[in-house]
Amino acid sequence: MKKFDVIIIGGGHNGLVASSYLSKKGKKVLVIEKNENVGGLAEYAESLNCISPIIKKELGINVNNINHSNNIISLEDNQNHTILSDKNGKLSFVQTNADENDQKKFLSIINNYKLFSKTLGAFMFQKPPRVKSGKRADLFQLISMGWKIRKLGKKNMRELLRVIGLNIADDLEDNLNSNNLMGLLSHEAVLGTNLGPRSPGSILTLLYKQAINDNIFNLNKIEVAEYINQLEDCCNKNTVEIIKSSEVKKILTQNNSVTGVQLTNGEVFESKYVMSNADPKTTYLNLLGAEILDTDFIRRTKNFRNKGNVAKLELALENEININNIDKKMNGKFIYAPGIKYIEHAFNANKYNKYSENPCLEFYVNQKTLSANVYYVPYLINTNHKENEIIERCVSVLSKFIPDMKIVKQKLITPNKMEEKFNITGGHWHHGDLEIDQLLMMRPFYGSAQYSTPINGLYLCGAGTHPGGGVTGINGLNAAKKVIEDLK
Amino acid sequence: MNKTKYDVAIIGGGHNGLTTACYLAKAGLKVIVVERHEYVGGAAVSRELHPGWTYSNCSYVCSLLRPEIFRDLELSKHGLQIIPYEGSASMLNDGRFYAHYQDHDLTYRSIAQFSKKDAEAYDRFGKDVMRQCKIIKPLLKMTPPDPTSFKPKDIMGLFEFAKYFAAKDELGGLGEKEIYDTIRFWTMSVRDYLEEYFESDIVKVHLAGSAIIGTALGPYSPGSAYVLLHHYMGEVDGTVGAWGYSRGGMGSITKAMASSLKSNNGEIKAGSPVSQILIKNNKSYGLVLENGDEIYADKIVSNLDVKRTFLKVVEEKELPSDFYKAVKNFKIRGSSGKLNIALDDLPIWKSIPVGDPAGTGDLHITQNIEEMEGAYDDWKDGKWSQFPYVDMCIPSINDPTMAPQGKHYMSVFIQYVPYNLANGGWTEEKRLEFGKHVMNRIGNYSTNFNDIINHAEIRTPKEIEAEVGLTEGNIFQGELTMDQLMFNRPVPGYAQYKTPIKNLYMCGSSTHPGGGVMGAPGVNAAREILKDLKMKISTHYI
Amino acid sequence: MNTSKISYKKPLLETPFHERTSEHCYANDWYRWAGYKVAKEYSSTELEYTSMRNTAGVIDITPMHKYDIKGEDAKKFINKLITKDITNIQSNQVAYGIWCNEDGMVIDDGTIFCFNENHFRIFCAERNLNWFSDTATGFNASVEDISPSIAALAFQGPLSCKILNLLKVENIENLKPFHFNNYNIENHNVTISRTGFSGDLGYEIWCDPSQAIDVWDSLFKFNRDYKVLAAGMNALEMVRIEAGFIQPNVDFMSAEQALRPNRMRNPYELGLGWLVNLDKEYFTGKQALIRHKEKGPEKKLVGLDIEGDKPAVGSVLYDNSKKNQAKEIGIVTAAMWSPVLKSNIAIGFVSKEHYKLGSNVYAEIYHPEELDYRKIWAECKVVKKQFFNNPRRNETPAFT
Ligand SMILES: Cc1cc2nc3c(=O)[nH]c(=O)nc-3n(C[C@H](O)[C@H](O)[C@H](O)COP(=O)(O)OP(=O)(O)OC[C@H]3O[C@@H](n4cnc5c(N)ncnc54)[C@H](O)[C@@H]3O)c2cc1C
Ligand SMILES: Cc1cc2nc3c(=O)[nH]c(=O)nc-3n(C[C@H](O)[C@H](O)[C@H](O)COP(=O)(O)OP(=O)(O)OC[C@H]3O[C@@H](n4cnc5c(N)ncnc54)[C@H](O)[C@@H]3O)c2cc1C
Repeated sequence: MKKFDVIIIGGGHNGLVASSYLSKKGKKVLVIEKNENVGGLAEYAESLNCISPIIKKELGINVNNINHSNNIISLEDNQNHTILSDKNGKLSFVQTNADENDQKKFLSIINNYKLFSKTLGAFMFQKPPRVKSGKRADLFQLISMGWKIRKLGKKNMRELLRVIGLNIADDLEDNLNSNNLMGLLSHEAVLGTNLGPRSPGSILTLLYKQAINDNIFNLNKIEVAEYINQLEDCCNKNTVEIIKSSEVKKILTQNNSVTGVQLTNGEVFESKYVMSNADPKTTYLNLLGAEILDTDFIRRTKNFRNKGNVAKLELALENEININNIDKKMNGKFIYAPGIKYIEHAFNANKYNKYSENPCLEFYVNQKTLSANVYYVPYLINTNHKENEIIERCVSVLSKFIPDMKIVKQKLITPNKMEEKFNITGGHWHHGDLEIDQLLMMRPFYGSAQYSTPINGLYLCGAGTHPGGGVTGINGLNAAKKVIEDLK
Repeated sequence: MNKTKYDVAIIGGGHNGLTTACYLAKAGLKVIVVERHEYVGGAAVSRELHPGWTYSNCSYVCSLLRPEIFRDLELSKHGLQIIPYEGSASMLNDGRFYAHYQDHDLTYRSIAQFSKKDAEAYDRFGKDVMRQCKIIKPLLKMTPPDPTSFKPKDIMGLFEFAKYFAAKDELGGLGEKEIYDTIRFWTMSVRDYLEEYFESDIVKVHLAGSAIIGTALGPYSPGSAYVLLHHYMGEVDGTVGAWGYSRGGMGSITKAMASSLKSNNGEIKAGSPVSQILIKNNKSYGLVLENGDEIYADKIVSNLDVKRTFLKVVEEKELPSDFYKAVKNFKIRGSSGKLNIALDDLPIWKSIPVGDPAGTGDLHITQNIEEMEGAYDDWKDGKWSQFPYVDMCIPSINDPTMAPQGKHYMSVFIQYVPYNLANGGWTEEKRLEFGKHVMNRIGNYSTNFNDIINHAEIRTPKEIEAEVGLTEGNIFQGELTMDQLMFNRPVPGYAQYKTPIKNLYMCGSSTHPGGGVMGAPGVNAAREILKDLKMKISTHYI
Repeated sequence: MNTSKISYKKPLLETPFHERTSEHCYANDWYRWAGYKVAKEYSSTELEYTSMRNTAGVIDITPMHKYDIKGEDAKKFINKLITKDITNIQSNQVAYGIWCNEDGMVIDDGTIFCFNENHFRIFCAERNLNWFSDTATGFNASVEDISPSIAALAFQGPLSCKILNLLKVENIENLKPFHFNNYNIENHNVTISRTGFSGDLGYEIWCDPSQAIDVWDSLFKFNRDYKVLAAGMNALEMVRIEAGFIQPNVDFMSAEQALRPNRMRNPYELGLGWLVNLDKEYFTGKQALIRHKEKGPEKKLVGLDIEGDKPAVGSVLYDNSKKNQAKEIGIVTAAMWSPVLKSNIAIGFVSKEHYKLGSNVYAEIYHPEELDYRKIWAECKVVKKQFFNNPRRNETPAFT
C-alpha cells in the first residue's frame, strides 16, 4: 500500500495547481483523475485570461496568447453587428449602430464597473475571512476589506453599495438606449450563472467575474490544452504522481480524520491529507458519505445550489465559416444575445427546467469548426433533454449569420453530460451558483469555507470554493497554501 | 392668501405625513398638512364608492403599523380599532384547500394533509423567520447610518447596526452561523429559501405570496425572501406576523391620526394640491398651491414619493445633478392592481366549507411557484398576468361596518399588472377586460361568485397613480430591493430623511424602512426634524 | 366537492382511549398534547399521583411521537443520531438517548426500542421527522412517522406487575428494566416495555388502536381490590420531577426550536453527560461536544432541596442569603412539593460557581396567598436531580 503526503482527488486545473504547488514545497503528492486526461471542465473553457499571475510566477507557467485579434462581435439580426476591439484592456468601437452618446456611456459604465472590480479584486486572491470566528487574522482581514471599500471615496462607495444588489438590466436601461450594447453586457453578467438580466445580483456576478479576470469580456485566448499540459509537466517535473482513468470511490476516515482514499477498483492509497477537486456535493455526499457528517451540515450541503445551465456545442461544417457582414479576417469572440428582453426570455425557460427555445450563444470560429457556449440549457434531474432539438435551435440561430450551413459533425455537451463525465453535480460552470449567499466566506457554505472541511485533513480545492469557477487556479493555490500551513 | 407662517408644512396627508405631523404638533410646533384631496389618508383610506359599501380601496389589511405610534398618538382614543383575523387559505384546483389557522395544531394538520414533513418544517421556518423579525425590528425605528460618512453619529449608527452581529453569542448576539443566515435571508430568492424547508408545492406557493406583493420581483428573483420579512415583521397586539382589519376600513387609521393631529392643534388643509415648493438660496421656505396660494413655513416635509417630490414639485435647477439623476433612476415600477367588489351575498367556495375560519382570512388561488413566476413573466413583457396571484379577503365578515347587512365587501389585490401595457397601453376597454379576467379566475373557485357581484371598482397601477399619487402605482413608493433599502433608500447619501435642499425633508414610504401602512418613516422623519430643531421626540418605543 | 379531511369544528384529535378517558375525567380539564386531547386532571391530582406511588396509575401517552427506523443501516443510523453508543444493543432491549445538533445542543430525548438489527422504534416528545430524515441521508434506512397507528398507556406504580400478573400476562415479572416483549392481555396482542418516568416499577403498553378500549378496561379489572386510577398530566408532571426526568421545551429549549441561540443547552449543562460517549466513532455534534466537555458547563441543571413548603415555581436563584447583596445565578424550571418525600423540591439551572452538590443557593419564591403574593427568600441545597428512585424500579423478577 502506497503512502503519500497529500492525495488530490481530481486532476482539474485546480487540482493540478494545488499538486504542483505542494510538490514544489517538497511534498509527495498523488493526483487521481477519473478521466483519461487531466484538465477537467477546463476542456470547455474557451476564452481565458484569468490565470492568476501569481500562479504563472510560482509555478513557472508560460502560456502565450494565441494570435487572435481581440474582437468582441455582438451579432444583430439585422446584420448590423457591433464590433469592439480590446487592446490590452482598452476597449474601442470598431463598428456599431449605437449612437455616439451610447458608445461613450457604454465605455464609461465599463470603466465604473472596472473600478469596483478592482476593489473586489483585492479579496479574490486571498482566502476569505470568516465573520466572528474569534480569530484576529479574520477580523483584521475584514477590517481591511471594509477599508478598501471606504477608500473608493464617498461617491463611488455609495454607487458600489447600490449596484451590488441591483440587476444589470436596470442599470443599463438607466444609461443606454442600444439594445445590442445592453445585450452584450448582460450576456457577460449572466453567462454561467442562474440569473437573468433582471435578476438582482446580476451586476455583482459581472463585477465578481471581472475582478477575477481583470477584463470584462474575458477575451484573451490562450490554448487551454497547452496550459493544462504545462501544469501537468510541472507536476511531473516535481514528481507528482498522476493516475488517470481511475475514480476515487471513497474518502477513508477514522475518528474524524482522513486516512486515505479508495478507488472504484478497490485499491487504497494512504494519506493524512486529501484534497478534493470535485464539487462540494460530490465530495461530501458521495465520496465522504453523509453518514459521518453532522445533520445540519448535510442540510447545508443539500441546499447548495448547483444547477448548471450552459451547454457546449461543437460543430464542424463542410466549408470554411464566414459570418455575414463580418470581414473574413476579423476574428474574435462572437456573441449572440441581442438585447435584454431576448436574454430574459431565454432565462424564463431555465426557471421551468426547459431549454431556451431561442438560446443565447457565445462562440469562436476556427476555419471550418465552431464551438459555442449555449445557454440556457438547464441541468435536469432524472431526465434528459432531447439534444437534437437543442442543436436545431442553435443552428437556426447560427444560420441567420452563416449562410448555407452544411454540418458535417455536431456534438452537444449538456450539463448532464458534464456531470456524468466529471462527476460534477449539476454540471455547473462554477460547481455552484455565484450569488451573494454562496460567495466569499459563505462559499460553499458555513462549516466548509476557507477550503477546510469538518473532517481533519480533508480540503476542498475546486471551483465550489472561493472565488468560484473559471480557470484561475486561485482555488487550488489557496487550498494548497492552507494545507502547507496545517502540515506545519 | 394665507398669512400665517408655520413651523412646519407637510405636503400630503398620507399616513406617514400625518404621523410626522402628529409628532411635531405634539412637540409644540405649529404644523399644517396640505393634502391634494378633500380627504386625507393617501393609500390608507375608506371610501364609499358604491352606496352603502365602504371600500378600503387601496391598502386593506393592517399589521405593520408600529404599536408605539398607536400608543403615542392615542389612536384608540381617536377611534381606531384593529381586528385580528383568522388565518389564510389557498384553494386547490383539485377541490382541496390549504389553510393556516390561529390554532397551531389545526395548521399542523392542514399542512400535514399535503406533507407531514412540511407541517413540521413550518415550525422551523417560523422560528427562523421570527429570528429575522427580531433582528430587523430595532432597525425599523432607526435612521440608517451613512456608511460612507465619518461623522460620529453615523459611526455610532453603524455600531448600533453591528451590535447584534458583534455581541457575544452568550449574550444573545448572533453567532457566525446566524449572521450568514441573515445575509442569506436578505439576498436569496423566496423560492430558494422555501425550498430549503418545504417539499409541497402548495405550501411553498402559499408562503411565497407575501414575498411578491407589490414588488417588481418574481419568487425566483434573488432578494424576494426579504420582502417576506417586510410582510411578517408587523404585529397585532404582540403576535408577530399577525394581520388584522382596521374597523371601518383602512381609512380609520388615517382618520384617527387626523383627529389626533387636530387635538394637538395641528391644521389640515384638504383639497389643496401643492404645485411647487418655494426655494431660495437652496433653502425651502414655503409652498405654492395649484390655486396660486402660498403657504410659508420654516420646514417643509414631503410625504410624496421621492420622484413626485423632486421631479414634480421641485424644479430641476434647484437640485445637484447627481441627485437629480439618482431620483430619476429610482425604481418605482407598479405591479399591482386592485378590485373592490360589492357582493350581494357571501361567496361560497368550492373547497372551503362555509363557516370554516380559513375562509375569513386572506384567500389565494395560485397552485404552485412556477405559476406564480409565470405571472411575473407576463408582467415583464408588459402584460397582465394570465394566471395572476390574488390576495382576496372579505373584511365585512369581521367588520360589520363595511357593507349593508347580509351583504359583503371583498377586496382583491392582484399581482402582476403592468403600469405600461404593451401593445398600445391602457384603455378603458382593457381596464374592464382586465377586471373581468380576474373575476372570471376567481369565479372558477366559487359556485356563486359571478352571480353576487353588485359593483366592482377596477384599478390598475394607472388608477392607483392617478388617485393616490403613487408614481407608476407602486404601492411601496419605491421598490424594496437591496439597492433601495436601508442607507440606499431612497437614494444613497440621502437616507436620513433630509434632502439636498435645506429645510426640506422627506417622510413618505420612499424613505427607510419603506412602504406599507407602518408609520415608521413618519416617526423617523419627525425625530430627525426635531433633532435639527434641538428638540426631542416623545415616544414609547416598543 | 370537499375532500378535505381536517375539520375546524373538531380541532383537537381524540386518542383511541377517549371514550374511557372522557368517562373518567370528571374535572373535564383537558391538556393539549401534540394536537390530542389528554386529561390534565381526572378528578384529583393528589389521588392520581398517589395511585402511581401506592398502587398503579394509568396514563394515556398515545400522543407521543413514534418513528419506525427500518433497513440494513438502521442501527448505524441510530448510532449516528444519538450521543451514546448502542452497538451492543440486543433485540427486545430499550435504550434511552438524546440527540444533539452540530453545535452539541440537545434537540430531544427518547426511548429507542430495538426489534432487531434492522428495525428500531423511537418514542419521543417532540416532532422529529425532519431531523431523522435528514440524519438518514446516506444510510440505507427509512424513517416513518407511525404515531397514529399505535395506542399507548403508561402503567406505573408498585402494583403494576401484580395486576398484569392477575391478567395472566405470562412471565411479565421477568421482564427486565429497559426491555420489552410481546405479550397477551386477555386475548389482545400487545407490546409491553418496562420503562417509564415515575422512578418506580412501571410499564408502558403499546397496542393497536382498535384494541385500546379493551386493554384499558383490563387494567381496571381488579379495581375492587386494587384501586388503579387514571392519572392526568398534572400527576405525571409530579412523578417525573420526583424521578428527575427533564423535558424539552419545559426545562430547556430544544435546539431545533429555540429562537434565541443562547437558550440552547448541551448535555453537560443538562446533567446528561453520562449519555454522551465521545469514544464512539461518529455522531452528530461529537466535535462540538468534545469542546463543550473540555470547557465544562457554564451552568447546570441540578436538583434543589428547598427549605419551607412553598413550591419555588419560576423562581430566580441567587447566591447570597442576604437579598440586598445577592447576585442572580440561575432559574428554577420545575418545582413542587413532593408528597412522598415530604420535601420542597425543584429542578433548575445554577451557574458554574454554585452547581456543585451540597452548595447553597437562594430562591425568591412568590407564593400566592389569597389574592396576594408573599415573597419568600428560601435557602436551597444543590442535590441530585433524581429525588425519588425506588429499588423496585430495577429489581427482576419484579415486585408483585
Ligand atoms: C461549457 C463551459 C464553458 C466554460 N468556459 C470557460 C471560459 O471560457 N473561461 C473560464 O475561465 N472558465 C470557463 N468555464 C469554467 C471552468 O471551466 C471551470 O470553472 C473550471 O474548469 C473548474 O475547474 P476545477 O479544477 O475547479 O474543477 P473541474 O475542472 O471540474 O475538475 C474536477 C476534476 O475532478 C475529477 N473528478 C471528480 N470526481 C472524481 C473522482 N471521484 N475520482 C477522480 N477524479 C474525479 C473530474 O473528472 C475533473 O477532472 C467553462 C465551464 C463550462 C462548463
Ligand atoms: C392597492 C394597494 C394595496 C395596499 N395594500 C396594503 C395593505 O394591505 N397593507 C399595508 O400595510 N400596506 C398596503 N399598501 C401599501 C401602503 O398603503 C402604502 O405603502 C402607504 O399607505 C403609503 O403611505 P405614505 O403615507 O407613505 O404615502 P401615501 O399614502 O401615498 O400618501 C401621499 C399623500 O400625498 C398626497 N398628495 C400627492 N400629491 C400631492 C400634492 N401635489 N399636493 C398635496 N398632496 C399630495 C396624496 O393624495 C396622499 O394623500 C397598499 C397600497 C396599495 C396602493
